[in-house]
Amino acid sequence: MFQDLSYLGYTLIFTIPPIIFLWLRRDFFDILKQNLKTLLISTALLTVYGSIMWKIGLHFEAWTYSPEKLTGLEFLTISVEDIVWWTLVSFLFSSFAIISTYYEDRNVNIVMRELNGLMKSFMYASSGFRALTTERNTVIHIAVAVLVIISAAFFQITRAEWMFLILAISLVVSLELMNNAIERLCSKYTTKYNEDIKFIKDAAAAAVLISSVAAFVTGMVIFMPRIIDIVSR
Amino acid sequence: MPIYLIYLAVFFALPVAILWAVYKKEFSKYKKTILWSLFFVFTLGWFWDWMSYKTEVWKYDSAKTAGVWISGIPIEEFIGFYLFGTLLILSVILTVRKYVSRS
Repeated sequence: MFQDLSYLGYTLIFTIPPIIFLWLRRDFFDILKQNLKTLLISTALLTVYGSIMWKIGLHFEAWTYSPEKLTGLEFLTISVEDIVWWTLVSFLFSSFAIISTYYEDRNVNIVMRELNGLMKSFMYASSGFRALTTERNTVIHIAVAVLVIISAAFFQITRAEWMFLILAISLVVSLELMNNAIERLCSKYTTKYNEDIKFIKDAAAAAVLISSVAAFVTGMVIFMPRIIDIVSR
Repeated sequence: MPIYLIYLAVFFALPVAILWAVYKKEFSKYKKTILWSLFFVFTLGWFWDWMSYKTEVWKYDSAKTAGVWISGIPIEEFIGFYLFGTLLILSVILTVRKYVSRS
């Protein structure tokens, strides 16, 4: 897959997601918007310096590009890819530096703060795993999933089949957890008979049933030919 | 002749050294920003560079390197990454200090 990626493709893949991350966060966006002039000045200066330096590097053949990985477009004899590379990388660096120095002025290590927040959300999510063992149906689904995984390893299924199997299992378990959460919430709301609560609980249970049937069919498609093959020998 | 190394020394190491010598006090206030930038350059950036090299987006002529290669990539590329990264972040910090509004 990566063989087909051009210079421009790599540049966009590695720079656009972090730029989006920095710019979509409301608190970061406000800081960046406030310092837009600085951002544009540093991006422009670095793009000009870097593009010229890259051109010199290429002139001395410190490295060379594969022509088939380039668009062939040039601006002032500098390849468009090099200009885009420097523009996006400088923009990313400038955005990060403006945010990070803003917080460092206030004695906040912003990267550590973000990492700690991420760790906390993972810890909350992992503590939710105990819900997997509280309901009978969930425990049955987990047991079946383990059996299916062992069987898949035994039958040496293909990579594509593994993908479908993992998707099917994770869908069933996720919906089962969601169903448990909805049931718990409904019970907190009222313990008496309520038509709306009945509808909510039934819809959530139906979602689990649909995913279970789909997972069963997926398992049949993958395992049935192999089982028939063993039986007919 | 290690042209790549000379190129890095002249156009990247020298500006970094000059900037550091002149504005050392300024930069020492933003150690965390500089170190985190270099961390990202050397994790995400290195992977990007390695992928590009392995898929032949760019190539190196061994005659123009110092001859030290690590997993198929010349040592200049590693040095270069730190130098590009450092020059980028130092320049940005200077621009930020000059123009930024800290209200």
